[in-house]
Amino acid sequence: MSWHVHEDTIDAYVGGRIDEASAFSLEAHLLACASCRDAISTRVDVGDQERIWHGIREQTDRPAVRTAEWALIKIGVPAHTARLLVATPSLRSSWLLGVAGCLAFAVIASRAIGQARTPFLVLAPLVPLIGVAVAFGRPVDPAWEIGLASPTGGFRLMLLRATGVLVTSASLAGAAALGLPRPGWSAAAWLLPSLAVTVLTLVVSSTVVSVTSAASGVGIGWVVGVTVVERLSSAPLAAFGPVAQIAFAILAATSAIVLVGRRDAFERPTQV
Amino acid sequence: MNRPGRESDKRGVSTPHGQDSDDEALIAAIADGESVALRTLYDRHAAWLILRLSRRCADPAIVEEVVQDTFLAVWRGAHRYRAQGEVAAWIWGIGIRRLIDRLRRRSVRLTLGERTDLEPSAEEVVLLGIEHGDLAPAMDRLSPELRAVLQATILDGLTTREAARLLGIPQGTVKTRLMRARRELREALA
Amino acid sequence: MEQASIEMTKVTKRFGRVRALDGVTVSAGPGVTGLLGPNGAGKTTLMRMVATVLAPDEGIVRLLGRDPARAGERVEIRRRLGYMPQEPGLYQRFTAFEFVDYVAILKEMTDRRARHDAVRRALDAVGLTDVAHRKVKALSGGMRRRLALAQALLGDADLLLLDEPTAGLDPEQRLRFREVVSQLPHRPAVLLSTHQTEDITAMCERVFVLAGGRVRFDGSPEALAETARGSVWVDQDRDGGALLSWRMGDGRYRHIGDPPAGAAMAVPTVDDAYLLMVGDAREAREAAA
Repeated sequence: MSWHVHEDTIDAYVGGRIDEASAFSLEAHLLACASCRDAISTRVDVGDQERIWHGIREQTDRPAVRTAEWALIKIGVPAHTARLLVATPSLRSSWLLGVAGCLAFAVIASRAIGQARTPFLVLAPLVPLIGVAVAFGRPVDPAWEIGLASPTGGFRLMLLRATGVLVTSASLAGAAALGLPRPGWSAAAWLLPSLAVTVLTLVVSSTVVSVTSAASGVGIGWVVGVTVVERLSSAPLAAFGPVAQIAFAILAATSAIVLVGRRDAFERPTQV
Repeated sequence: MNRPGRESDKRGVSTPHGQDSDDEALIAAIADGESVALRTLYDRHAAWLILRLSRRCADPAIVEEVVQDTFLAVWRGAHRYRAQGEVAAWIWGIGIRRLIDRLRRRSVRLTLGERTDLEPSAEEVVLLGIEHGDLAPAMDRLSPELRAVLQATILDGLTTREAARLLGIPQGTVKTRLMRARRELREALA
Repeated sequence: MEQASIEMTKVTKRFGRVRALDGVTVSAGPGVTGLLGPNGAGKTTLMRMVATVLAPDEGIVRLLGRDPARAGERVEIRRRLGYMPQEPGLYQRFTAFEFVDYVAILKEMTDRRARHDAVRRALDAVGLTDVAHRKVKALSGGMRRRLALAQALLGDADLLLLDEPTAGLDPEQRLRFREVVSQLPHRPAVLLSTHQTEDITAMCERVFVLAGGRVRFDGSPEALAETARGSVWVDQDRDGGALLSWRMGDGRYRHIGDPPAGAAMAVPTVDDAYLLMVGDAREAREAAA
């Protein structure tokens, strides 16, 4: 900078007493001269600047919201709850995309086979099962212990995340089911089994068994069970028939009651 | 956008940017998420931005909002800064456009980087009058409307359309006034 | 009335056949109380109990005057509790700010503005304001420790539990850590578990030595050192009859155990007393096995 603005001119500018031509010149100069800008800075009310800064900082400190979290907030989940939900993998976009992919694959497989919807109906309940396995607990949640010691506590955190998993899984599966050949009542036949196996897994995970092992065990039991029933019975889709649905409903309800009774096991695990 | 040689992604190695960094280095740090760099940039540029915007908008509440929005836009868009000249000029470009949006209450925001650098013509360089003194009497002879148009286009760097929005006059009027202003100034300076 | 913030009476905890805690009685009030012991002594088990995440098999636990076995009181305790577990437990993809914000949500701070103010205060207390928006994976080891401490400081906890907080820190970082902990304005009850005696001498007004699941000592660090009086001596050479001996900087050997007649006695330190106690405990365990 070959010249700097005279102090009087700066004072006049700040005080609003300057003529337009000089203001022009000064403003153009300021774009290129740091020391004259500093001279201006010392003359502007600090209190105002601080207040404006606080407004900026409030916004910049706000954690960036990622896709899945944004979607949750859009459908009405409180922002702080959404934060808790997306901390573990089960409700992140990557996981959800993977799930959607698997379900789509299952639908395609069902269509390819023809009438039988079995691949899809067997797969759909496994989705929330795997989902809860990656939703909470020490292996997937590094901050699990901090969560246990917080007022929210292990039980509420587990319930929150399990609900999130169930709802999203059911929505995705429901959407995928529309692609099944001749959807009808059987397109929703996976719903009660999903609920039952998931709640059962949660109950089992409240024992010394980890949630991952519980999910694996129940998952294998499910697949084996369905296969066995299908082989043994003459009616198609017997494992999803009306009798079976009632059985799943009872299983789900009983498991839910037991789960609430086992609350303490989530709050104060015997083996942390 | 990571510049080569920047170590801010290594564990705790780089110190956050402080008073001795130049503006461009601050922008790079902001793009990496260093809020301290934003604060330093703010401390350097908030004052003149507030004053300059206040001379175009009488409502201090609007000016405050616009200043906040401007620095937030810097925070979010720092990675789009492409070494395009003075950082102060870039900040001004954001600020004046935010002001126009605000005054016209548009929901569609102009994006950053939309305006590329226009090479000022020789006249405009003269008009910018780095040496002040020559300009004052010539400017004084112009009518206020012509001066306003000059300020909006040449000083503030707006397109004729943006100037029209800011001043609340049709775009054609901006063009004619600009031509007249330039002609009169050229005559006065000759 | 200053009620003890932590009161554990004859607490026992078994994992399988192992007694992690055996009839342990511990109490602590405002100020820093140390829990000193070797790895596997039951320190983390005790910390977890005080953190309300583990239930005892036998014994009584009272925290801030309340019973953690009752669900309602447990939540009350947790509202005033800050816990820094042994494993840092940080989310790699979060920024420092986001992580503390997450814990603040767990602590039921639902109002965003107040919560962010609390987060800023916590980060400021540990000196991480400048890197608040850096991702955890880009933070150094010392910074991560401080971050783990910051989340424990949220909400001005009345009960602060720090499990091996200085492990892996260099001396300068440890010093800074001690400064933060000893300058907390609201005087919480701090329970600090460590196996480094310098932390005890530097910070603690009271110390419990835990070895083999049992409390071996309860008192001030000075009193702890005193317990080794008459059991520490110095000699030119190694003494086979000592419980433990090591070579000092000046080439002589320091011994702890039963001194031989005429030995040159040394002024005991907390270190000496600790080694003596732990060594005794180990011997007793080996003898019983």
